[in-house]
Amino acid sequence: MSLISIRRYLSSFKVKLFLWFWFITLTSIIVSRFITHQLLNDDNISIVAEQVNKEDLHFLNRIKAKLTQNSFAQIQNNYKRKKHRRTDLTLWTQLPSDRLNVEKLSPQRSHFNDIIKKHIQTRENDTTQSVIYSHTRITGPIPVIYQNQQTLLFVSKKMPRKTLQHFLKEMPLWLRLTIPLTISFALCWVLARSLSKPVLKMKEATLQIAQGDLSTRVTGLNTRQDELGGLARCFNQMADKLETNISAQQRLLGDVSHELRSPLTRLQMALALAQQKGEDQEQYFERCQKEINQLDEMIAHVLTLSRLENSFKPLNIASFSFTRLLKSIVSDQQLLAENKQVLIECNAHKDITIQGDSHLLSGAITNVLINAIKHTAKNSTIKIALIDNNHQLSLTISDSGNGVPEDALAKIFTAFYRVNSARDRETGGTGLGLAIAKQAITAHHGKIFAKNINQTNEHHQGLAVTIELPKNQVNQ
Amino acid sequence: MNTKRLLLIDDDKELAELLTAFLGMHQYSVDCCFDGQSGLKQAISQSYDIILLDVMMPKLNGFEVLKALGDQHKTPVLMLTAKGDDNDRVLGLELGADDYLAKPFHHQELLARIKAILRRIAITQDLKNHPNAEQTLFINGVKLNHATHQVTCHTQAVELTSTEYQVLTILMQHQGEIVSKAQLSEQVLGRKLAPFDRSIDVHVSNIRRKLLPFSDTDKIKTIRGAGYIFLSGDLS
Repeated sequence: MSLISIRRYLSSFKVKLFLWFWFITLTSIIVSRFITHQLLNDDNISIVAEQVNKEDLHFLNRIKAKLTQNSFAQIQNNYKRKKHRRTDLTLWTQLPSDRLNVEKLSPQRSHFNDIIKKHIQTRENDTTQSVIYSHTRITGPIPVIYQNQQTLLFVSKKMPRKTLQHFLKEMPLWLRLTIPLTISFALCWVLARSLSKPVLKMKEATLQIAQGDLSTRVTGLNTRQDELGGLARCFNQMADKLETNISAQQRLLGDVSHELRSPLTRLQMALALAQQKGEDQEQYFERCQKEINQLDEMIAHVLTLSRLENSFKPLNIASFSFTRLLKSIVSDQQLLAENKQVLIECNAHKDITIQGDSHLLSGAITNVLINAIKHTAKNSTIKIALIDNNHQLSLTISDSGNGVPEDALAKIFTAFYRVNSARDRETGGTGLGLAIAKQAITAHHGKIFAKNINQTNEHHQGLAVTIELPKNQVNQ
Repeated sequence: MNTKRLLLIDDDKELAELLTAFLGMHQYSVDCCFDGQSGLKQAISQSYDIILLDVMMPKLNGFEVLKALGDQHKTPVLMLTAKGDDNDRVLGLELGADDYLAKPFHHQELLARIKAILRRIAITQDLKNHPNAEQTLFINGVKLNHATHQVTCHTQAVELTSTEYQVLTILMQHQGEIVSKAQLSEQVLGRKLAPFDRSIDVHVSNIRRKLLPFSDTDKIKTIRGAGYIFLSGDLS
């Protein structure tokens, strides 16, 4: 159990990322360190100064002068007393007869003793000069005679620490190893976490959506500018779309189950009546027929609307003559209009060609027109006006009915909304026609809206439904 | 058989027309209202034997009409609901309706429900008018007065609908015994208990809720899977 969880933990995105980053960082640190060590071992690089350092020379001469009276031991004691003053200076002696015999006189500890010693032993000539190593300046030799012996004097001066590197160099090895290890560990961990955390968040959100909580969104990542931020934004977009689609679907389903029950109830009652009596039987069977037709129409409408709302089917875009389409729709509905003694007046003289799904648009316009015919007064006129506005066309269908209350103007395009339920049942609408029209027009990036016509002088009133459609469909 | 007066409140005009024709054949005279507001007005101003009330209506919906009618009304209400949700169906009962019928319904079912409700009313009327019958029932602080159709709990008046009154009467007549849901359904609602039918449960919980403010102890106990029992109080 624990072994499995450890294995799962080790194979997790975070740990993998971390281990890779760390491995690479450590490798690069080691390699670069190796290379620099090989190429520039700066401890051994020395520069011969152009001039002998006066300060050092002065110091050496002072020692030389003192040596005539004092012994080295006295000078050394002197040093000890004045320790605090010149801790950076170290005195060295060499016997010219035995070049390898190099002695350090002052007791200061230094990491560079070996380098200095080596320099003194291997120098090429006896000219007094200052040689600068990275941390030490060595000046000498100055020949003195001490205890009747030819002796060469050198002084080394510790240079002030200039860089972090020197500081690091003076640290013990274990600390020098631990510091880069810790820093790289921390940095790599932060980096790995910053990458794996959003992924985990996204995983949580996906799981919640999979469990049916569609209101879940990924939070806190939207401001991220990288790919993970983009992924989070796309995820939220997807969730939005899913939520609206499914809630639309559920609302529609709820409405439909309610709306289907009404014709079914009437059907049942009509059947009951038809079964009971002889004389009116025919009438009630006709009623049944009517209800069945309405059920059929409603189911067809519901399917169309559901497809449109969820954009299941892509639009079948093609160029066609909108004017010709409009004229064919009008002639199709002529019969329905004549039954009600309604005249359709169509003002569409200019031939307008547009891009779009002609089948969908024809359905939308038919629904608006049928709606107008249903609600217009008997013996009245329905006016259709088609206007060409450069990039878009505007189609207005006006009836001579009672209009719609102002606050309901926008609502008539929602599914199953009825201004007056009793009246609509008389006209036999499904409550879906205008909703389908709106969805179809919206899918074409167009607009549909309704306005009441109020021309008081003529007592002419009614509802005008306007459709605005762009002529070209830009792929989005 | 004399003609019963029936008020139908439903916004579906065509259905109203059909129902009027159908119920007319069965000796009911039907008045129709097509929205909640006018329906409520009609229900208050006129006296009816029964009200058929739709839920989804313009202006006032069925539940709002029920609330407006309140506990005071004595006319039984049969809800007609097209909503599929069980909770919606039961909500009507909680608000004081006597029974509900889901659309679409079978015409015989509708007749049977109407008859059952009317018969129930007739029984209580009978008790009222019958001088020899036991006039009151007094158990465990709850007193039923069949003559006035009034219920008191520890001398406080409690308003029950006719269906709730009927349920309580049966439970009290069988005090200390378990009365099954099936028995209550048949005796009160006049129909066999159907699976998932929560009507009786809702009626009983309504009674409990109404009695609660006036007593410290629960009068009616639920026996899981068996039914309900009216506790005789001091005897137990």
